[in-house]
Amino acid sequence: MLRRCRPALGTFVEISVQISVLKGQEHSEEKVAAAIDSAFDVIEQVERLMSEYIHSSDVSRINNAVPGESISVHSWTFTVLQAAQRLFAESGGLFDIVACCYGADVSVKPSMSDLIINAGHVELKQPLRISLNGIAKGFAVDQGIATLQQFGLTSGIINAGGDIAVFGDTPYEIPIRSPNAAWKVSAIIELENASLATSACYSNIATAAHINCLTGAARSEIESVTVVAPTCMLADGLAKIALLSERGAPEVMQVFNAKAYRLLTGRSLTRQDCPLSLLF
Amino acid sequence: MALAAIGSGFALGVPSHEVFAIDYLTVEQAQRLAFKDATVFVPMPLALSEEQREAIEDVSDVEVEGETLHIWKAMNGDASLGYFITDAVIGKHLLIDYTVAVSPMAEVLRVEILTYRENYGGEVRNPDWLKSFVGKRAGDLFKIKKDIPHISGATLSSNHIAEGVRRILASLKIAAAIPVTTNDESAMQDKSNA
Repeated sequence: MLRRCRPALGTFVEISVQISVLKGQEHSEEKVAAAIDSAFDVIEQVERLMSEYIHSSDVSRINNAVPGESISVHSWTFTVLQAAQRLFAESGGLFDIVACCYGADVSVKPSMSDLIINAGHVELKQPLRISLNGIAKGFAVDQGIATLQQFGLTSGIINAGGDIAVFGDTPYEIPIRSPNAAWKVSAIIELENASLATSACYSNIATAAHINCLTGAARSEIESVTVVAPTCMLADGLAKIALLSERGAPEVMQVFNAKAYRLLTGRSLTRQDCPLSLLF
Repeated sequence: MALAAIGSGFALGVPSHEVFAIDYLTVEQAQRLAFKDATVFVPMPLALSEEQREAIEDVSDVEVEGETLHIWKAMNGDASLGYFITDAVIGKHLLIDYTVAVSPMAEVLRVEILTYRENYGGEVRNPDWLKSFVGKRAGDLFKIKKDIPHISGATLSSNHIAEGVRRILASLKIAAAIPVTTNDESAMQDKSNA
């Protein structure tokens, strides 16, 4: 197992690959290392495009633009914006990359419907900010996985601070942390050729990402929601929807072929119990 | 590993902790990854005077704890390829060893984690107690669990690494007279994406 870790996307990104999985080639550690390096490069490129803390990023350029201005964006940014738009529509506005920047204040504030997204170009209807923090990390993981596959690797796992994707024939058992005790494992989910992301309202952390954009209310219960989805980008975005929605938004999960698992306060789930927490 | 050393925790009235450590790379491996064409890595440890440490803190806005910066110059024959620096920062509770590779103009080429350590058995109640062990090997103090699985849940912030990189760049500029090119990338992002 070759395991590498770099700081990226505001967290620690870990890529692990079995050395013996290079398709039809000499099992060269050097080649696997090169694949991992490229995957990290791609993940860092996503960060440069979509971080709101990097001045030259597409997101920063959108945030500094004036209404009516045509802002050119990278095709990856366009892909993520399109997915965000779909999540916005399917969740009835619960997932909103614009409103999430404005916190609990629900009096007149911009929403994603004030953003015009065309292939390669974005335009604002009114001054606004966007944040892709609820979805770009998952997209970065997907791009990393695609890179590993392009190098001919047949199995591996990428973990970007808990946004996890695995590919290949090897299933991985992913422990899910207790929302309130960082290192207490409360559940284990087996993942095979799929992705998962966990979203939680930790008792001591209040972030805008976990505020209901429609009502301005933060979920006060201490719980976490883990979504298993075909891509990490979807798992990332859907985890926010499942956490914010009263019933976990089963209909939205269904649309994206995803499943949501919820951990409630005081519940400790073993693997056998895990399906009990399935939201639908 | 190193079970006997847990007693030092009890002696100070701190409960024992299960700690996990993941070793990703050795220093030599990280050097090779960062500078593939290097024929030699010349150690040039940099002792920081008190004045320099203060200046570094002013420039980077990060506290300087160590008195020496561990630098190697990556060379291919007579040509300088850049510099390789090893450092450690506190992650959530314990030290994380990492490396920074920079160009001759001190542009950040690569940041890589060598060893990641985290507290497994619960919160550390006395951070000062931990601080006193900065620079020591966790293996001397704790029961170490290896081969830690991939965990989903609370996102761990890499802010301290970003601060460490900022401190290293300031150190190179101030104490090693290496011109530092600042850009978004080398400054790294400094906020959590959680």
